[in-house]
Amino acid sequence: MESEKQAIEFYLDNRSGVSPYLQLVQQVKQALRLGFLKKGDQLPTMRMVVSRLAINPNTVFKAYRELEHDGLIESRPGQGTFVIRTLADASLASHDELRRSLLDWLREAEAAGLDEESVRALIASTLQQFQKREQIA
Amino acid sequence: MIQALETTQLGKRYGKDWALRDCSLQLPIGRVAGLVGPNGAGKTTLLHLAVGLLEPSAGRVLVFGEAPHSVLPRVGFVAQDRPLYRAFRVMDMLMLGQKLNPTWDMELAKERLAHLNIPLNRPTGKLSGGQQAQVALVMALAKRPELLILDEPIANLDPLARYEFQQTLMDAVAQDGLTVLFSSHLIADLDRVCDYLIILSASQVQLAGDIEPLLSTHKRLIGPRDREASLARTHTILQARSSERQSNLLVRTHGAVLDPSWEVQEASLEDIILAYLALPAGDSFSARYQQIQEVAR
Amino acid sequence: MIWVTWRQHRLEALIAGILLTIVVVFLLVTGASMISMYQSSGLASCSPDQAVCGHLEGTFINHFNVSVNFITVMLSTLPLLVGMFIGAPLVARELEQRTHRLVWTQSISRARWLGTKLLLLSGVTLVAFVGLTFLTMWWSSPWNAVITPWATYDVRGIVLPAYALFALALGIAAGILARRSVAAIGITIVLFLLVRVAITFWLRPYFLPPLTFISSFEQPGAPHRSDWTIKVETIDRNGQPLSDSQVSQICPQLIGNGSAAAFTAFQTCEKNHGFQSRSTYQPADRFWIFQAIESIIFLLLSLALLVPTTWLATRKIT
Repeated sequence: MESEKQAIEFYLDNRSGVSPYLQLVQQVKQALRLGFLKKGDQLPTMRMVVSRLAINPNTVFKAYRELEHDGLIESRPGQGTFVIRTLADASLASHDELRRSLLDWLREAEAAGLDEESVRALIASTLQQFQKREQIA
Repeated sequence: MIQALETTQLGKRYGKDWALRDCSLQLPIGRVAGLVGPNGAGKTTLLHLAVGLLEPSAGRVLVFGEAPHSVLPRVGFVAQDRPLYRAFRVMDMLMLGQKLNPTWDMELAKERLAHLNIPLNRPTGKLSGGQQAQVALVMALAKRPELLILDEPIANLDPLARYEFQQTLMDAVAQDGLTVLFSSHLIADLDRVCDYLIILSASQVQLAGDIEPLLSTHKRLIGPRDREASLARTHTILQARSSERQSNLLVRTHGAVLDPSWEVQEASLEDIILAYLALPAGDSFSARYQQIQEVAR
Repeated sequence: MIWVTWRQHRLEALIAGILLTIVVVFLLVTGASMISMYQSSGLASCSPDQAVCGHLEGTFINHFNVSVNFITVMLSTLPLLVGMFIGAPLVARELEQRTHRLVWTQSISRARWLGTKLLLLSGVTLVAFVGLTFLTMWWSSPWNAVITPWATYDVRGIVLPAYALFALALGIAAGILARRSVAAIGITIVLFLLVRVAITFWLRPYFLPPLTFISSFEQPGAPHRSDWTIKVETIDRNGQPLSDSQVSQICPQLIGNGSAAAFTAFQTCEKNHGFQSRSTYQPADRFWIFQAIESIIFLLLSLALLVPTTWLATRKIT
């Protein structure tokens, strides 16, 4: 079980303030975005993740269920859980456009007198709020 | 519905002192529950009542709907300090388990110990603390219990041993759908491992419930000091740290926070627990909650 | 549970076995030696009125006195050792080391745990001491014939297993109450000795009303040698006992003077005052009745100790 290389190695950050299940979801999405996880790759079994991270099985279950709900993964009985869609293509196209609007925003922030730390703080807290809003929805 | 553990106004008294009083909680099957509280709060007393080592002085305790001593084969228990017979070799401990438990799974026990590289013919007294903890855990797991109760199982273990213990435990939960109740001093690992929380303080239950609703209803609010009183009319303030002008509150919300002058942040599980533990003795969440209800009317 | 009991106590069993073997060897060696001398010296065929018997007896007793005393002490200690090292730690050690939290939460009830241990350990103790008592009866037979059967009362017959079972019960009860092995061992030693001494010296002489034998210088005599003489007193004309100092005050002839003339004067003085000697004794044929009575007392004491403490252990202790 330990010797096989897994398509993705989960990790948990105690200090991030983000709940464990959300961290798992984010790590899968990040890997998909950056192309480390491709269509057809098999995710580690729930038991493997639990055993590696010493994490509550319900947490893994919830994370996988949400990813399944988002249409990113699919569990096939008797075989395992597999990636059925990536996020790479969808986002790559809009990267340039988004980068441009982000630069505009940064210019606005600088004009308003925010230094780098304030910019980061604002982005971080707004991002958190945004994610939370998604969660409730 | 049958709960894994159900207590009704459970109490235990030694002479005039109540080690535990008025403890009512229901632990659903399948949960991994953390029991937290300071030393002397009654954690060990509660756990001992649940496994039949103690008789209640008041109230009642049921495990899977029955008295604890009649469901011993279905409950695995590891006491504080993880007692083992020091002169017994590990294999002897497994034999003891087999002789005294009708549901013993010897193959499982040997397999788990082999996986952890714990030699079967070493006397348990010569094992390291971490290895002893693992042996004690395997003893409890090899019974194939439906409920596993652990009293401070990872206290005095080095961080690696602690982590390995939790790995073994979570793996068993994943494999068998075990219900787990363990008491702990260490709050840091709880949100990773538990989905249910019981807070015991001053021999009383301050809180008992699923962690997820706990995290969604408890918030950290930062805002103007003079808005605190009006906030307190709708929501329960558990902890207030205030400067002259600003208040930093840990709040149990009842509905959304409508006042825009408050910045609403997530509260970590650790902060929530600490706030409950810091409630003055005799004060309990339920008492405060009732106060809010009174005022709201 | 049988396996568990064996595995937990196997070191004790080994040590007990070794000790027992040592005692058995002593018994076999001295027993064979005593029997051999008893027969070859002609003591066996000697009748008490023959003058030469006294001489043979004296030699025999001198030869074996020390070893008989030594073995008697050893045999008297054995039951106490059972109580100290098998009984006292039984429950106390589990509580001390907190292993009761492990073993009482396996699937077996406390009653069954304790009951099995009690049965097994008392069974083994009983078998060992019954075997031992057969051996001590064989070993002591020449000594009993030469001195009196009562001399080895404490180390043979039914009482020996009874003392062992009592010590075991006492040790277990002490362990349950004290919850600490060392304290339990101390309590066991003190109480065992107290009870044995109290029963031996205060109760045993009076299990059945003792008989009396009156004698004087005109009518000399004494209870039979194989009877148990409890005490010998000088009594006056009215049957009231007199202490030695009282006798010396009334008939001072022997003070500071050991001559034959002084002795005759003393005898006359006693006769004039009507002094007699009264022996209080238990006859030899009561030996086994007394053993039975004493054994029953010890067994009842054992029950009185075990019943409440085992109830306590199975219902109350944490």
